[in-house]
Amino acid sequence: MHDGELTIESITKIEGHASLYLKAREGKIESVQLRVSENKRFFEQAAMGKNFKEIPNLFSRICGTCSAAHLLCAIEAVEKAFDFSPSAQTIQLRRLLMNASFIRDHGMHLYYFVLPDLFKKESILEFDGKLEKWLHDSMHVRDAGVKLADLVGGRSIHPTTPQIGGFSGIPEKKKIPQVVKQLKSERKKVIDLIAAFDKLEGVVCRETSYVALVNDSFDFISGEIVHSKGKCIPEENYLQYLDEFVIPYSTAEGIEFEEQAYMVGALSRINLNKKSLHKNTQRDAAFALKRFPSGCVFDNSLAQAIEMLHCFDNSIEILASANFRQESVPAIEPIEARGVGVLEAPRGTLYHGLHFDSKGTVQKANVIIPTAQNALNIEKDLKVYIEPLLEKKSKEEIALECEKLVRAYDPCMSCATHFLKVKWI
Amino acid sequence: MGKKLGLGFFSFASCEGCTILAMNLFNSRLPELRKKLEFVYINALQEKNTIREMDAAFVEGAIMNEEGKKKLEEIRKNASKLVVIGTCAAGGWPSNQRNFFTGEPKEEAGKRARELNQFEKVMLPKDFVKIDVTLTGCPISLEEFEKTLNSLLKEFKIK
Repeated sequence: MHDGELTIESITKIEGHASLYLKAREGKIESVQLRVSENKRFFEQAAMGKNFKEIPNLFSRICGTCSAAHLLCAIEAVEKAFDFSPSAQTIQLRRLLMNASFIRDHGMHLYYFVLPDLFKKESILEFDGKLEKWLHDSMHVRDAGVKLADLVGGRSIHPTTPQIGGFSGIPEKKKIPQVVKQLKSERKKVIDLIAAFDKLEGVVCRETSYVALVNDSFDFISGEIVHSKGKCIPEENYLQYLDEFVIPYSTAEGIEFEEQAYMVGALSRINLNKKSLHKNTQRDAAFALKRFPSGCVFDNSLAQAIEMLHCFDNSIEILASANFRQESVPAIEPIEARGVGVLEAPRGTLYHGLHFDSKGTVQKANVIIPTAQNALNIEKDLKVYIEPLLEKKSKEEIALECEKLVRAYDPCMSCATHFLKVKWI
Repeated sequence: MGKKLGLGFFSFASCEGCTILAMNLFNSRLPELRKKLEFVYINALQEKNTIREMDAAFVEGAIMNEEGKKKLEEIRKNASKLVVIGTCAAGGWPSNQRNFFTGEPKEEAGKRARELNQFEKVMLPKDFVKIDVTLTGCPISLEEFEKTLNSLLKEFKIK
């Protein structure tokens, strides 16, 4: 494909709907556009005028698969606005819920979306013979995540127990040992997954920047926003650094960090903070961790597999020593204030900014999701990755390679279309 | 090999949580189900997806534009049974929240919706096509989904 245009109408095996448009001339890529085609659902506007108590459950609905992250991020924004600090037990339960969501969500991406590429199959449904192992592993590993989410959150999609101020229910005592047993017995399968992705050779290496929330326990919910070029930002100052812009050909928006493209997600987290992974993960994934920091986006899958192991190890440790007691959920008095929630969703850093009046009514809401932050980086990587292939490969082969690269980022299009920008660039 | 149940999974304006939840059923039954089910259309799992004759279509989400409406009608023509899953598809919330906006949010959302060629009001699948089964909930319950799938397997005599 020396010259011409390529359109992939519907990229498969990603979360949601997106298409890709690519134009090549004389062996060079003139234009590459990742077009998000999900329908806009206007969540930021919907929040306006609503009472603070309604926001977490509303924002959870931005995305089913990322619902735990949106729910907890909105809760954090409300609590920060009204100057409330959650109890130590609440923090542990939130960590467990995030771990569950990472196991389930990374599991979906790695087993269902990426492994078929690795084994040159169209779908995991075609895995047979020796590959059948992966089919069974996918079931057991994802189920461990679902069971953990059920135990802590009441259910895995749109969890019911997390509240502003605490949890309305705690894990049922007799179920805890069953979940720990399941996590322990499926853990080995995650190490196999790490080994499978460790065999992949990195192909796209383009210098970019990485951003993640960094702390010393790799817990996804606390810390400071760290940029790989050395900046360290308190959570509440995020808007001073991030610029939102409208992508004219897409229903999603893009984000830059001080006017530069950057990447968020598992690769960023492991690149910036691998020393804080659980000690058992560091021991059993040492062979793969040697590769990081990595500048290859395909290593995002390996980074996700390592994070899954960390979530198993961290959850086993928390649950094994836990003695949960039902705490009362305190009533929170609203004040006129702005609150910012920042956490690491499975696909990267998630920001919820909320302004309230003295009655706790939302005056303004701002949600920045991981896929919007990665949008520009995806297009830049596609250019670097695809250009050398233009002379050698057919249109169909190039389409396949484009999809593989987009998939490596694990984009989430349901999240990407929650909001509205009216200014076009 | 015996007859399989031809299934399609389609999502319109939604959070896709119901489809993700339905896929949790694979965690316990995938080896058995892949022998009994033929996925005619499931974007999350396979590359080749075309709308063609199928026994049942599961539809998640509200309908926001002409393209969605046409696709839904095409699905209806090809599916013996059409099952809507989740509150967005059954009643509208929260995908239809802009229908209830007032003041500035209404103006902003209306303007952008027009730019994107969305309908004036967010619509439901039942506004355009006949629905055979409705599973509500945000998200749906996995037990209800499994029951519906089992009854489809029975109805279409899949063993």
